Amino acid sequence: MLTLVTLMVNETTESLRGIIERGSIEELLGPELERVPWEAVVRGRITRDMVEELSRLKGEPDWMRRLRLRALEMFEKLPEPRWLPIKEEIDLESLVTYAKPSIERARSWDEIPKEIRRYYEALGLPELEAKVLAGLLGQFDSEVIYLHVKKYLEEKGVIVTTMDEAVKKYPDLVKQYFTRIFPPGEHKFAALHVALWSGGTFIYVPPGVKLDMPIESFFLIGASGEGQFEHSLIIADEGASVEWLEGCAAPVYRGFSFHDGMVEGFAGRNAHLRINTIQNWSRNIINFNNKRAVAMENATVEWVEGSLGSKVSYTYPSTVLKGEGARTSIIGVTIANGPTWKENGAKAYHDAPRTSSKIVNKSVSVNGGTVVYRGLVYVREGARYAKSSVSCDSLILDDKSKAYTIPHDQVFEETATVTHEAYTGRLSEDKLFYLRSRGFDEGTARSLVVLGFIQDIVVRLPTEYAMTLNRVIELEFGKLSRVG
Amino acid sequence: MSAKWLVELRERARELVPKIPYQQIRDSPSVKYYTDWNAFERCADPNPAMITRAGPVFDLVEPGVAVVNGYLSLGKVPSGVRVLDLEDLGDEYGSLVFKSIDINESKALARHVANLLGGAYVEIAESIDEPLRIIVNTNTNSQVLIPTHYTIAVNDGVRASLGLYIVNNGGCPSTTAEVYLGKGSLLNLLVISMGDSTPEFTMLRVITNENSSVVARSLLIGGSMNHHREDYLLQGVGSRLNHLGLEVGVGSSRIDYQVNAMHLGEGSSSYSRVLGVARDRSFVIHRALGRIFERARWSDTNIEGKVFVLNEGAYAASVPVIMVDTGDVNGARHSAADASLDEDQVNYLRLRGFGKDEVIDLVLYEVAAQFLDSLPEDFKLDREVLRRLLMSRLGQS
Repeated sequence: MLTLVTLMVNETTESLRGIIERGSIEELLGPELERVPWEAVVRGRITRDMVEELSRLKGEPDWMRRLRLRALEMFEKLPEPRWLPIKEEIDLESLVTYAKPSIERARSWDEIPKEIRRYYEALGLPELEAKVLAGLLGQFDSEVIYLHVKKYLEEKGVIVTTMDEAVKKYPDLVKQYFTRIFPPGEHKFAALHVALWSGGTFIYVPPGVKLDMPIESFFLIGASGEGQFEHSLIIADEGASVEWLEGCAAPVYRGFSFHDGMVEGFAGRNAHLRINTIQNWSRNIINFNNKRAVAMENATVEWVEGSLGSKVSYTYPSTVLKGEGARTSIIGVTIANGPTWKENGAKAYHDAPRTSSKIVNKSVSVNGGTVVYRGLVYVREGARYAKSSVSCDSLILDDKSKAYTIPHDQVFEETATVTHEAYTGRLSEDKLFYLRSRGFDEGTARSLVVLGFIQDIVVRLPTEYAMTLNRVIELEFGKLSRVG
Repeated sequence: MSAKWLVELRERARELVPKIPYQQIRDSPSVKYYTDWNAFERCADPNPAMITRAGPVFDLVEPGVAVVNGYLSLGKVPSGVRVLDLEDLGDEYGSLVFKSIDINESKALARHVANLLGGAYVEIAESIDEPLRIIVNTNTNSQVLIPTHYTIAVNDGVRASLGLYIVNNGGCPSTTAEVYLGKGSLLNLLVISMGDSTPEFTMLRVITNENSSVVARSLLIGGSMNHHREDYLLQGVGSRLNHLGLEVGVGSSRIDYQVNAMHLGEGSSSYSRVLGVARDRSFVIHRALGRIFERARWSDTNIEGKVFVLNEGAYAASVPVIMVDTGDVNGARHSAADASLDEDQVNYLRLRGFGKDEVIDLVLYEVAAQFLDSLPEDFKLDREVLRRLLMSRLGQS
């Protein structure tokens, strides 16, 4: 085991070593320093005038302005979601809802001002881009400030751009999918998102094109008291294949910030769409993320959701299995360390025959943290021979922490099979004792047990993400012996 | 003339009715409420003119206490058991009624109490060899709410068996029961709910004391809208629950069955397994909660459910929830399955010449047998009665 750990450490990139030396992502990014100047700001009460102003600043076409205003009406009409203990946490009127940094969008890292570049460098993104990515977008506050896509993508007809630009350049394509996969009327925060969205990623992969390298978007919130509402739309057309990585981080703030993003995915017939997220917001971010994809005939949609940071987090990656033979897997890893509330659930809607879903969720809570799995498997009448399996495991590391598992299995089709199993337990004293007796200190022993617990999920992650996750866990749990 | 405590309780509930909803939070994004509360809105508040006997009185088992349309009569009450009509309770005993149930919780409960027609206070002071059976029977022509309540106290060290039969032959039975177990006591509890074309509401709450145990068996058959909830509050250190339930959806019935095992006592243990069958156009829902609170250190909970969907048009839903508030937990586990019949089993039987309907019948009988065979020996008479009842109800569908 020791050899494995040593090997893992040796294999990490320089940036990951930086993470190890510093202790956590937020320590790595450091405290919120001097504010990066904003060229345009929208704040205050969320009104029609404010939304009009946002749309004007962005120079949007009229159809998008009208879409925003319709969403605003929904936001005003929809009730506060009573199922979320979030209301007291958010004072929307005090937030900066749109902040455009006074930076021109760059195509190379040298063009980025160094006070912002340092965040990205600390996370090792320039190196990662050079080694394993087909394209990279960097969003800072409300706008994408970095976009670089490898040339061969353009040659294959792949579109990788910002959502704002796609609205202007590819309106017909955007209109087909934008808010059609996740309608704004579903709940109040989805409506708020659509009214205020800014930034995000647009990817379109034409029929038959299979990308062998992933595309990454990295979202940073640079200041406290800010709302980030990025919208990403990832489309894999018939027979296409694409993998998108989404990373989120923020430095340490004095106050809280709010993230209300949306990801819509579409996998056409026989297409393969994979979306991986490592959310590592600092612990004063309230994170609300709306994620849904549609899978057509024989398509595959895979979600991997690593929820590591933030104070409060609500994320439920969902797949609508619309075409016969469509498949989805939704894999979640959640860590609640300290006084945090982390909901990382999943939803699978079986809308067609012979569809299948597999949901695996692993969570760890420690130092008073609470993890929640909230999920839904819905099998519509006529989705013959649909199959679904859900497995949730939670590990609680001390007597102050909590773990809740709240699944809903709804079956309206007699030939379907839906199963669910879950287990919640504590850290095994036997395993700890075994590792201690072989010379590991308590912190290392704990982190090894946690790593072992989530190992079957980590192996499904892209290597660089898996290594990052491993290191974060070693840091978080290795520290425990000192915390306790 | 009702006792003062009862008049005041009804009055308080009456004021609540227009102020609170049936349910505060929707159940899921896709199915708003597992219970169709509108069905209960169609049940009128009771008045004497509406409560006239229509159907037969349930007499398949000998009652200790029979409550027909809210009117209480006593049958064979074992020695060591005291039964008092709710109307006759003085303020001292009256203060114990609805002590564990919060009537502010929902409109269904507030309406229940505001219109309470009767019920009993039962004290089991000594161990009994024969089960005490409480038969709650409604049989009216009109769709009228018939609320009754039972508070049952089992003294320290007592071993007893209690059967609660809720038989709906017309009207809308609304039944609440709170059962208190004394230290070191053991209760075998059999709950039967037989539905009809009118809705019914049941809420049972069992509160355990130190080292007490409850072996609970529940059978729910049909009902156009049968909302049935059982809460087991494992309050005592080292207290235990062993529960097996069977819900049978036939015709166009809808059963929303909830079993909640809430651990408050250290070292407490719960096991709950619910089997369900959804046949014809029925909708069978199984909801279960295993919750270990912070102070219930070193407890364990195990919640299982399996609902068979037997034909096209039948539906099932499972919501097995576990909530653990402490890391000092022995374990919390749940599993659930909503599925059609196992293809291998079906093929095996078909190869041996059974028709599809016969295969379904065999599965039903097997599931029923699992439940009936698990009944404690004290309920051997009930077992035979229930076997006949189940077979006749299943045969009708």
